[in-house]
Amino acid sequence: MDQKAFELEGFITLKSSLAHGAFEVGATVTPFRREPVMQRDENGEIIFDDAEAMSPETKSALRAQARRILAIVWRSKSTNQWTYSQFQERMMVCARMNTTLAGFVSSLVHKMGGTGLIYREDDAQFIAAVLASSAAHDILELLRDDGERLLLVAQLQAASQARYSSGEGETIFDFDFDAVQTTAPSTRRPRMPLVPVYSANALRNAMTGRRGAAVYILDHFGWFVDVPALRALLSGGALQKTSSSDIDLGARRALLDLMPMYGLYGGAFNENAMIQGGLKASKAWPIVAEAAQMLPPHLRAQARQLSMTDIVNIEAYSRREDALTLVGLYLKRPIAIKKDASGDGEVSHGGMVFEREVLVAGTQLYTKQHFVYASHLQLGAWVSAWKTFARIPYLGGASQQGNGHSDICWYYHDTPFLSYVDDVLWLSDDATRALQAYDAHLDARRDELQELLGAATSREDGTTAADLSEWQAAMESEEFDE
Amino acid sequence: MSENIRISCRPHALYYERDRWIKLDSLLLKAVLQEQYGEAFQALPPVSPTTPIEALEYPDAVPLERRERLGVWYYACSWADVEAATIRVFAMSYVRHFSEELFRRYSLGKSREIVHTSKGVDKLVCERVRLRLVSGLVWYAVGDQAEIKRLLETYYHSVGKKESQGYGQLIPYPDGSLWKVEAVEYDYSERDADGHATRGLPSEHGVRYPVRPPYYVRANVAELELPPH
Repeated sequence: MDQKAFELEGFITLKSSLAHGAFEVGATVTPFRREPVMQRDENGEIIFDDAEAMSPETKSALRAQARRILAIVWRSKSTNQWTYSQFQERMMVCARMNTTLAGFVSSLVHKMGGTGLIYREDDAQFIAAVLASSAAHDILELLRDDGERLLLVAQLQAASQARYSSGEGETIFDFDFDAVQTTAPSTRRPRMPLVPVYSANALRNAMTGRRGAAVYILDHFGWFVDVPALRALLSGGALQKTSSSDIDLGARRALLDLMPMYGLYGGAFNENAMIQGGLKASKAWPIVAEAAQMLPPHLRAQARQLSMTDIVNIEAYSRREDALTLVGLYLKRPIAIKKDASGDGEVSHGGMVFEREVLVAGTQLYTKQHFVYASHLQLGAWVSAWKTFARIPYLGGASQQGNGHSDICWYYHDTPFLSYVDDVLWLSDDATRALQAYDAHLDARRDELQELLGAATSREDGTTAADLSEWQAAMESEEFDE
Repeated sequence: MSENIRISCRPHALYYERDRWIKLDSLLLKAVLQEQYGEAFQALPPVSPTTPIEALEYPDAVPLERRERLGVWYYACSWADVEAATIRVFAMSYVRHFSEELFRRYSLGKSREIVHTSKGVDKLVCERVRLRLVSGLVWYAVGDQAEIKRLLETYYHSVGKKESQGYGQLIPYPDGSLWKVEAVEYDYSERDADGHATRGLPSEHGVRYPVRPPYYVRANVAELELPPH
């Protein structure tokens, strides 16, 4: 391997659906983390969106139709108090998660607590005509656009306030908002779909990276450490004031020599200056058409055969209060369990349905990690992280429910370097040598490491690492006996 | 061998908010220093805004022509206007959280161990970052084409801030390379065809702005004519 810089390419294959939330909306739906990706053709030229190239008149007509649909949905919501920003959030989720306008309308009504559409005048004919027309797809595209969505909701809100202040009835909805939008640009915009992506922060710093390497050291010796040392190991530590503002270069060199993983992943390690890590991770992109240009050219033909809509799925779960089944069995006193509880003698049952957007099992993702001046020991530390991953081979969220079970293969210039496939960790000769050198380094400098981390082989109450894994060892030996 | 060069790359989701321009001479200087010091580069003292000029190093191996005007020297390399190249800005977040289960498993188990997660070093952070989608970034320089290509391809697979987490990842060109470095006939490293400055140029009546890398060091500030916005 090149001393200066080299790259390992990783292929992740999902064995169960992967959940990787983006913390964007309320508790009921967690969409998969996504990023806009500018689409380019095979020659690298930017692809412009036809919807964006529409004439202002066409776009204005589409907006009017979208507004009317939204007004009907808003009218069909439940009688609960909803804000327009909540409406906007739910629109975003529905527009993203549905591939047809009909699906969008029905799921939005459902999410707003409505049971069905409430029609006035010729609304029913209007909806039927729009859903059947060729404009349905363009309207859905319009609703997926951040700016357009904000504009439509703002218009809806303004219309509602205008009606309220004029004291008129509910049926009027003909305010010409486009008259005040004359300066809106009508230029073409590049096509930028929101493509699901697995974050590099998770790959580099979680159990597949920094934390995996940290846990490997602690398990290797069966150590327990204090909170500041754990912080330095698990997240790189914090910048701290020290007695002197001077930077002791000798001490920095000695620290990096002693702890190869510090140099690899970087951090402050509770000192007064940061150390830049030598490892740069890339995000893991699914091998699909929309992410094709993020992939190396030799994978693009394969990627173009699959669309991202083929790999995204929505899993729904229900949560039900156990108390419903336990009434009369374990409750101290009889109590009324209602959907909307009021008063002391009643409790809410708190049941709900929630959905999660996932990448389906079988999806392949591509990632790469770039090592700059990584030493042989640092490479060993990197391999050790994958030893930890092999014990807990899950990526993303909700792993306690089985999400994110993954296989991974790392290649160095098309030669397999390390793989974890079908519960078997395989190391190439290079990887084995690096790990052996790393193990030898850890063993040789055990005392110095113990002093650096302030580690102890037992807790204050005398518990050792062997005690904690005793049941596991017993179970494994039983299996062995059979 | 100095020649006129056009350098371009296509970063995805660029995290860059420091100022308006991305400077390529800065990237090349860092790459050369990394090469010079090798593994020891990580242990070098960090450069801060107050680092004195004597502590800064400018090896001759930087493959860019040096120019001088009004007693101030600089590299013949234009600045890329990232603000102008931005097509869309979007928000993304990443989380830094303290892992309770790992702390429970590996801590010393003292009688009273409290980790403050609402303040201080273990504060739970959901950091929102503004990322840019850019069509491409272009620089013009005068220098050694092959050496520039080699340094960029070796050390930079991403540009901008938080690159270790995948921000600013470079999109490969159809031939598989991440950087396009091509010889051109014109020299736009200081001024473009219309005569507008393409980088900060020393001037008698300019604004005070750094002229050479590292651009955040105050000792590098001079009076400059800046590129028009």
